[in-house]
Amino acid sequence: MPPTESVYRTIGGIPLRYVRVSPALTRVYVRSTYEFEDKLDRFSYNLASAAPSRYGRLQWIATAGAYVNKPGYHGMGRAFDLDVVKWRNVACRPIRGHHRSDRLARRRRYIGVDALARRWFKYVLDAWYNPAHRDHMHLDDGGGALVFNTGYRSDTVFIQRAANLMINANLAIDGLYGPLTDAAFHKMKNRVDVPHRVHVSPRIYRRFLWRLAIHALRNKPL
Amino acid sequence: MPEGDTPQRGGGQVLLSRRQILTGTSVGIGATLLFHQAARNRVEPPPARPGAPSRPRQAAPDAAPRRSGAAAAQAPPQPPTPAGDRVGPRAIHRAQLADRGQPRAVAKSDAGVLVMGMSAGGDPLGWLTDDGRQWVEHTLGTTERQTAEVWGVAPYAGDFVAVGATTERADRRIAESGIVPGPDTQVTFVQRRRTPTVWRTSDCIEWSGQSFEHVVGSHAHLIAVACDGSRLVAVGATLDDDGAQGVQGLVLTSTDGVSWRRVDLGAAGDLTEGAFTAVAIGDDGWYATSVDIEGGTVWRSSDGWHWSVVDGSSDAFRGITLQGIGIDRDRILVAGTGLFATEPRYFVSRTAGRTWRKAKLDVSLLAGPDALVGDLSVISGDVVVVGTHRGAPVLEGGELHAAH
Repeated sequence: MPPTESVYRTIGGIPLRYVRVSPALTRVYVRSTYEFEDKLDRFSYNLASAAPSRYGRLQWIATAGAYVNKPGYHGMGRAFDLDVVKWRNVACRPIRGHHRSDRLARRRRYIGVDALARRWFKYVLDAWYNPAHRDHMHLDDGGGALVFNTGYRSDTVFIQRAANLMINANLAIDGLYGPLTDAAFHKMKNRVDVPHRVHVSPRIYRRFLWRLAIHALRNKPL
Repeated sequence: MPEGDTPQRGGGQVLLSRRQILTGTSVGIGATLLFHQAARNRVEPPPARPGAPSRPRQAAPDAAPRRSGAAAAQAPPQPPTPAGDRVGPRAIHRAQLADRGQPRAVAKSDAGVLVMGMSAGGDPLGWLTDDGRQWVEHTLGTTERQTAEVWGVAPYAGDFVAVGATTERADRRIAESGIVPGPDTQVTFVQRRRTPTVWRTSDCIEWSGQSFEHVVGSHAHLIAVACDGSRLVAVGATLDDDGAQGVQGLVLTSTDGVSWRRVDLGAAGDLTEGAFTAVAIGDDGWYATSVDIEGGTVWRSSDGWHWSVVDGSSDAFRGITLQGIGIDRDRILVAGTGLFATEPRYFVSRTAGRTWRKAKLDVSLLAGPDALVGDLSVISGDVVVVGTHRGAPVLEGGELHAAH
C-alpha cells in the first residue's frame, strides 16, 4: 500500500494543526495509508467520547507529522507524532512536557491520552520511554497484535507510570517487567474489573485501556 | 544469501526467473541510461549488444510504458535543455522499472547500473542494467524470522556494496480464547535484534552479507554508503530499545570492505526519530545528510572519520527531510521533501553547504505531488534520482538548475 495514499487535514472530523514553527496555529494536511488514517479516526473518536463533559468539545489536535519521507514507520505512512490534544476547556500538551507537570490532573490526563492511543497503535512511545519523546508521543501500528507485551519497553514503562499515578504503586520506571510491576498491573486490572488475559486478548487489553483512560481523564485514582 | 528466484544471463540474452515469468514483470525499459559519452568526463559507452546499439543522449518519452529494448532504442533524441546552472552537456535519463517496488538508491560500477530498493512484498530488490535498456531484477530472499531491508548502494572495487539491516524477531501466536491458537490467531512479536548489514555483489544475483552486531548495540540500521576508491563510509542510525525509532546517528568506515569501525559523533549525533540518510564524496571531503523530527541537516568530514554539522544547514532545512546527496565538482546537490508534503524538492550549494538555493531538476515523473523521491546521486556527471511516481518505481536523471 502506498504510504501517501490518503491525504487529510482532520482525523475523526477534528482539525489537525502544527505548532512547532510558530505559536500561531498552522493548519496542515497529513498523509498516510488509508488503514492508518482509519485508526487515527478511531483514536480521535475516543478522545472525544472518553473525556468528561467539563473538558468541552474536542477542538483540534497538533501533530509533528504523519507520513514523512524518512526511514521507519513514518516513511511507510504508518506513524503519527502527537504534540497537543486540545479540548475547549483543557488540553494535553506533550510538547510542553505535561507528563512531568506539577499538577496531578495534567499528568493523569497525559496517561489517559496515552492509554487511548494504545487502543489503536501497538507502538506508543511516550515521555517515559526515552528522552527523545519528552515533547511528543509517537504512535505507529507496527509491532503486531494489540496486546500487552512484556518484552516491549514502551508497554512496560507505560504500565509502571500508570500504576504510580493511578494506584500510587511507587514503581521504578525502568522498563523491566518484574514481579513488582506485575503485581501492580494485576491490582489495576482488578480495580477496573478486567480479566488478566491482556497478554493474549486484544479485546481485553483494549477494555483495560479504556477504563484506565476514563479514570485518568477524570483525575480519579483506580 | 538464499537464492530462490535467480535470473540468469547468457550472451546477449536475458533469461528470466520463474518469479518474473509468473508475475509478468520481467524487464523494465529505460532510455539510454548513464551510458552516454559525456564530453566533460569522457565516459566511454559499453560495447554494443546485439539488437541494442548504444545511442548516446536518447530518452524515452515521458511516462514511458514498459516496452521492449528495441522499442526504447527508437525513442527520439531529447531536445536540448534550456541554459541554466549547468556545466557541460548532460544526458537525460528515464527508466520505469518493473515490479511495484520502492527504489531507494542507485549506483554505477563496471558491472552496470544497479538500483536497490524494496519490493511491494517487503523484500530487498535490485534492478541491474548494463546497457540502459534491459533491466534484470532480483529479489534477495528472506525468512519469516529474519527479514532484510536494503537502503543504500555504492560501487566498490568493481562490485557493488549495498547496506541495510537484518531483523530477527521472536513471534508469539495468540488467540482471544487464550487457549488454542487457531487459524484466526494474531501475532505479537518482539524485535530481538536489528543488525546493520553490508552485502556485496558483482551481478545482482549472487550476494554475500555481513552483519555487525559487534559494532553497535541491539538495534541499528544502515541507510546509505559511499566510497572514495579506498575508504567506504556507511551511515544510518541506532534505534531505541524496542527497535522502533532512530535515536542516534551511526557512521561506520572501512578500508577493506570487511572490517568496519564506528565513528564517535558525540552529542551532535543525537537524532530524535531520525537517521543519517545519505552520504557522498567530493573533492574536499565527505558530505552526509541526516533527518530528525525537526527536519534535515548536512554534515561534513574531511577524512570520513571526524564529522561535524555544516553551520546553518539545520536552519536551511528545518521542516524538510533529506533523502539524497550528490556532489558535482563544486556543487552539492540534495533531494528533500517537506514534513507535510510528498513533492520532491531539490537544492544546490556552491558554498560547501553553508548556503543553499532551491533548484529545478529536469525530470517529469519524479516531480510534483505524485512523486516520492528515494535518493539522489551524481553518477558520471549526471544527476540521477530514484523514487516512485504514483507507486511505480522510476529512475530519472537530468540537469539541475538553480532557481532564479
